[in-house]
Amino acid sequence: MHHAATVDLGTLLPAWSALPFAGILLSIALFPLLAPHFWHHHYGRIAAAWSLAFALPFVVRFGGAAAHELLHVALVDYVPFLVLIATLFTIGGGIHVAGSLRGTPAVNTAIMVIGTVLASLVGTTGAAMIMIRPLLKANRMRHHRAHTVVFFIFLVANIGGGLTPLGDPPLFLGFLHGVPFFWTLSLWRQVAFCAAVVLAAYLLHDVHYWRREPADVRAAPTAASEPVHLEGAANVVFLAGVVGAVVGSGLWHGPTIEILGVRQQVGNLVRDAILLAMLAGSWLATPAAVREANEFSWAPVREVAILFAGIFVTLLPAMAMLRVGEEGAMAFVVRAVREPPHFFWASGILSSFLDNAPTYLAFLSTALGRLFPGVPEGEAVARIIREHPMFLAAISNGSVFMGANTYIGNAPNFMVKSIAEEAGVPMPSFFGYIARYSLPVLVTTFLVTTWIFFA
Amino acid sequence: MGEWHTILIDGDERATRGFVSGFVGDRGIDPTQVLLAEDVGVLPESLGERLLQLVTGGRHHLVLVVEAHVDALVHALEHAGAAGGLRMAERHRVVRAGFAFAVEAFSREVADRVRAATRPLPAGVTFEAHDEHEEEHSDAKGIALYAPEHAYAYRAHGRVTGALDGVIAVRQALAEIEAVLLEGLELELR
Repeated sequence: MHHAATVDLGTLLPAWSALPFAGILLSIALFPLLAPHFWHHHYGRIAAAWSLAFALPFVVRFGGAAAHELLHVALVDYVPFLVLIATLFTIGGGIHVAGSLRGTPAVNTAIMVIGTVLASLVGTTGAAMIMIRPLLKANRMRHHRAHTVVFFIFLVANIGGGLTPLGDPPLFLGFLHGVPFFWTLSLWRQVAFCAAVVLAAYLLHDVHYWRREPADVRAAPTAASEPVHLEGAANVVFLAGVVGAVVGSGLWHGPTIEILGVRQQVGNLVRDAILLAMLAGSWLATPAAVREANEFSWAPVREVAILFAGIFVTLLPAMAMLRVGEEGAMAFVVRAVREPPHFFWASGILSSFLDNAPTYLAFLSTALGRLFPGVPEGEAVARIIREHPMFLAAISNGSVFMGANTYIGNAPNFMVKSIAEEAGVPMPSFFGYIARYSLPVLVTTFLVTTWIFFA
Repeated sequence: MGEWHTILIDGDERATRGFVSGFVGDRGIDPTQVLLAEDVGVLPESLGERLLQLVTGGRHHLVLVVEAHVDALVHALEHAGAAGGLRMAERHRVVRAGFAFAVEAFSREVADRVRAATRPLPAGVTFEAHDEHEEEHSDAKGIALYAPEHAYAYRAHGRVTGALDGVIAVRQALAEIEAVLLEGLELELR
């Protein structure tokens, strides 16, 4: 019933019904740059306005079918997504790296490598939160630090998250829509290639700037240093619980039950219950001092809860129209984006400026609509993995990697920028970031990636 | 430190540096009294001059020297400079110097360092078109993903002008702070 409703609505909805989706994504992208004070205080109202701009006429026009679609997206996409983000954020915020590090090129590169690997385990936001302060502390004596923070955004806040559904929200949404947990590990070549190239570029940059540092900065310290150690290590256990729960939900689905008319697998409910238990365990087991050292607060979770409620509601018509392929009002998108390189760059360019999670879902729907129009989603996802895995790889890589292209491409980018600025690092402007770093380093790397992996 | 002069030397950069270094060393002069202008942030004035520098391989080098040593430097250049292919092209007195700066910081520590570098200004040095202000948003504490706002912001810009040695000292102190954007040091010559 659900799939039939989706297909029906996808062929009936007009193209302009996707305008609120464009509106909310552009609001998220532009308001923090153009009117940060206003946005900080009113983002909830703005998200609600865009949501209602779609949801009200949608329900009035399509009645019960529309209400069912909204409930479906809330229960199947939004709640599990929010539970995972909140859990990883709580666990990440409970781990603090303490001790003295000295920001030499070798130490900085090692921090980048650890953060990049960590990103696929605790998510890009969690890894960035754990590693950014040790990095800034290690580089406190350096006169040239902005490049280090920029490459940290590239690697830890974006590229590193490309290996598992825990790494970056787009991949978790893919998992929720039927992509097996371990399938993303098959993307290791692209992730390793991009990470290695960007890391090498960072090392060259940092050696260059290190040589320009004054002699007193480059001199070995004479004072004793505090050994590096992990505080809040119990969170590693909770993290293992999260991995187990998510992997388990992919292996065991259990019976199907109906909640408010929406069919849901018991395995997913068990997973979310375990995640919430891990969240609670992390909260209770972590000393308050550790969370204070990370400046932990619930504000980012509240932001995700509010904004993604709006995103998932407004995304609904775009996904429905794309999923029916050339039968829908967005047939022009389906016709324009046809081959894996197109999907890599189209999902990537949009992810550079809009949030990458909904972008991933939109292009997944486009690919399914192009390759398997009218086929139920679960079956279509299984077939794309079996018959055309390069399409899914291109969408996954484009969405995850190219979130690094701008400050607004991925949520942790802004968080890292903000923390670094408050530590006295003068971060490049929006366009300075693109011109000095993204274009020469990232875009070049992604062009080579296209040639090697998707051509 | 008193009056400053500029000596424009025509010749190779390495030879010019060697000559200045030898002059300072031989006479036991404080090295902060004879400086290569490019080392303290003086840029060629126009795009044309910069292009000329590029095309000619940087044949002209400006040396800043305090009045007490200017005649000795000119004399040494006339007698020993030719051996290194150096000759004096121009000589002027520095009337005053200045540079523009701007800073935007979200850290009180950085703001304090900027204030320490500019207050008090050395004797004979003043601000022009100086603007400085702070903002506090007490409800913006903590990290944010989608709606970031800094709890504290410090912004300042302006020009520091006046006696050359004082202006150089302020510029060097500000150059130590990564967040400060510095324009080139400009000289008004007579």
